This record gives sequence, structure tokens and C-alpha cells, in this order.
Amino acid sequence: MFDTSVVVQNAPLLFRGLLVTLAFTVTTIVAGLCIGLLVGMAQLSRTRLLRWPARVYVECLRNVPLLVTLLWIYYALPIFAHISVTRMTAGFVALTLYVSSFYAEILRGGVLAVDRGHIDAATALGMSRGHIFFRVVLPQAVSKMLPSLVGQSIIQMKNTTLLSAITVPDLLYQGTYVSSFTYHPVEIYTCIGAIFLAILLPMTMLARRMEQRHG
Amino acid sequence: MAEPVRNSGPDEGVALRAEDICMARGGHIILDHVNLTIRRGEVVVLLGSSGSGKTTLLRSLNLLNEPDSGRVSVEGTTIFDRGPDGRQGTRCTPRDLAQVRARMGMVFQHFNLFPHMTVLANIVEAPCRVQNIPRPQAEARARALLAQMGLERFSSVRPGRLSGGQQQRVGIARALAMEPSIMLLDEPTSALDTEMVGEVVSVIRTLARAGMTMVMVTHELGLALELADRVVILDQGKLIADGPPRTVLLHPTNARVQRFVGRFHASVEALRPLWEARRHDNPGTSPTAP
Repeated sequence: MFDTSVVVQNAPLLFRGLLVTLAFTVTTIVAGLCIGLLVGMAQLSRTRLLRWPARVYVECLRNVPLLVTLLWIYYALPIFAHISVTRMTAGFVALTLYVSSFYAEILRGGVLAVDRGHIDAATALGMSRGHIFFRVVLPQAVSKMLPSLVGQSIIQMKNTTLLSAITVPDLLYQGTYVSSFTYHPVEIYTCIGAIFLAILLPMTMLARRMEQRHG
Repeated sequence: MAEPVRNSGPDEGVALRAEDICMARGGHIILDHVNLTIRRGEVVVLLGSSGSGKTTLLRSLNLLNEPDSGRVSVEGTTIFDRGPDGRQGTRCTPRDLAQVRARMGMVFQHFNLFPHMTVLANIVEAPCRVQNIPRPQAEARARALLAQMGLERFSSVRPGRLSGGQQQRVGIARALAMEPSIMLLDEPTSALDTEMVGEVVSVIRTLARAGMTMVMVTHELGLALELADRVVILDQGKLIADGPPRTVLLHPTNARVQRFVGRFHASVEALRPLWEARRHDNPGTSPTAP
């Protein structure tokens, strides 16, 4: 029997979990965008000293599962670097680093997708490299990047569920906790799925519309 | 800021001088010791088959493509000077180079208008950013140019909504907004449908008649004949002919030029009456062939 009253009775706990999930999603996206912009620009730099470390950063983070990164920061960092981090900090750092590597790649791809002819035209007009980047390249790159950025941000919200592995009280963690004493996991996890769907479906549709508009 | 090196004497009256330009990429020679001098008010047309290096030579004149060695001077200012050993001669700062480029308008085969800006913004962007002209003044100039091109009603439209011919005229207006003394045109009509070629050609014709120094890469022999004071033919990166169009194309002096002109035999013959008519207006000098 599908008992929805379990969800209603434990709504405050689930709501608190949702707030934590949303807080992690928003803050790590903002921080990830800032770092991703810098790393992406470093990847496009003519200087090898900037390009190579940026490349290593991106590849290391993209090719290691997020859960491993998360656990490593939480458990290994205090051992190797003698840096003690709280579960909240470890979660924030791991999610931020992870998403920033994808944002950096999206930025790089967006900039490289800008027609080289437009850069030539701006150069021929005597515009400086800074002007060309901010006035000609970036506005075009952003419109090309938007669908991918929105898509990656959607994945980021789903990735926050991994935080429960280090006992960060996010939506999934609270759900697991509630199921452990109500013995109604089906209702609770269905509710969690519905919450994610309600938030992310409009975002997905927005990304699809952007994709259609920007080709 | 260091003053760019200005030459005097021999460069009086010379708009552009490219000396001993060499370029190779991936073991393939693109430009092979090319020398080209363009005097003020002269219209020079670069001809040659695909891959002959004519577009690369044109782009070398404003350093969009940097040669491996050679020397490029624009109105007496040396913007590039590198010996065959790679040793740098005169250095031109990025700022000086940008200033020189701003005096050389460039029109591209595929227009290269900024798609995220309106037509008006495309035209005023560089005058405002590079020449620091106040926006109202730059806009007034841009609107006047658009009116000249018959495009005033499209000022607030994105370039993507214009036809190819209209886009190319916007491209020309964008270059002219910088009030250049030299125009470089890279196959300005090649990407256009036949019916749109005329509208662009008429703008180029007006510019040439107004005494603008122009270097143009084109496959339009009619245009070359009508406008060019000199025709330069490139073949496999080498300059093989340089002289008045009538002399170069009707009386080729070496086998390579003959072979090139031979491919356009029908066109050349069709255009012969035009050449003959022009002969009296603009008697040419003998062609040179290395």
C-alpha cells in the first residue's frame, strides 16, 4: 500500500534536506563557473605554463568519479596534507572542483566554436586582443555555451545526492534517514524523485529550447 | 611608447611595400620571395589559381598571416621585418600594429560580420573602441555610410537577416567607417549569387574611382580589367607577372602566365573589346616577369 501520509508527516525533514541540496547546487555552480572561466581561459592561453596545468586540472577531475573525489577530499586530505575539513566543506570543494572542470571545457569549446573569420575581422579593424575577446568572442561563445552550461548545471544538482555518502544532510540523506524509521522507502524515494523532476524538468526544457535557438 | 620606424625617400608615394615575403607551412611553400609595391591611389588585382598564395599574400599585408621572413611597410611604417635566419629587424608594438591595421580596411570573402551585433553596431564598434570616436559621432558616420550603400533601413537588423550582397556592403561600410587609406579586398564577390555581385561591384567601382588605394583578390576578370591599374599573377607562391591588365593578360610573356591565362581564354577573348577600349584611357607599361 502506497502511504503518502509518511511523506506529509516527515515533510519538514525533507524540506530541510531540499534546502541543503539547493544551497549546494547554487553555491557550487557559482563557484564552479568562476573557476571554470579562469581554467577555461588558461586552457586557451598561448603560454604553455598556463595551458598545461589547466589541462591537467581538467583531465584529472573529469576522469575521476565524483564520489572518489568527494571521499578523497574528506578522508585523504587530512592524512596527506594535514588539512582537516568538515563534511560541508569537503562536499562544497569536491562538487565545485568537479563542475568547474566541465565548465572549463564548455568554455573552451564555446570559444573555439566562434568563427575564426570574426576574430580576423576584428583584428583587421585594429581591435586589441582584450576587446576582441570580450566584445566579439565571448558574447558569441556564451550563446553557444548556454545549452551545455544549463545541462551541466542540471547534472550538478543530481550530483549533490552523492553528498549523503559523507553524511551531509541533503535531500537524499534525509530521505534515507526517514525511511530508516518509517520503513516506507518506496514512498520517500518516489517523493524525492518527484521533487528532482519538478525542479529539473523545466530546466531541461529550457536547455532544449536554447539548443534549438542557438543551433 | 616606442615610435614605429618610419622610412622616407624611396617610399614617398608608396602605400604598401612587401619585400621578399616568404612563408611555408608544413613543408609546403605558400609564398616564395614575393615583392610587391603599391602606390597611393593604385588599384592592384591579385590573380592566380586556387592555392597560388594570393589570399595569403593579401593577409600578409596587414599581418593577419605573419610571413616567415620578409618586410612589410605601410605608408612608410615598417610593421614587419624578419630576415631569412629568423632574426627580427624592426619591431612593431601591438599598439602600433593595431593603428596601422585600422588604416587598412579589409573586406572578406565571407563578410565576417559580427552576428551578435546589429548592422549599426558592427560599423561603430571599431571607431568607438579603436579610434575613441564618441558614439553619436560614430553612429552619424555609420548612418551616412549605410545611406551611401542603400542600407539605411537595415541599421537595427542583425546581419544574419540580410542577403549576401547586403552583408558584403555592410562589410565594406564597416571597413570604410575607419576612414582607411588602403582597402584590402579578399574575393569580395566570390560568395555571392550572380545577381548580388552587381551591387557589390558598383560599390567597389565607386571606391576605385574615388582614388582609394586598393588591393583585391578576385576571380572576376571583368572586374580586374575594369578597375585594375595593375594585375599581379601568383603561381605556387611565386609572383609570375605584374603589370597593366591588358599587357599581362593579352600578351603574356612567359609560359606560366600563358598557361594561367589560357584557362580563361574564353573570358579573356570576351573581354578583349573592353580592354581595347580602356587601352586609350589608360595606356599601360610593360609587364614584369621574374
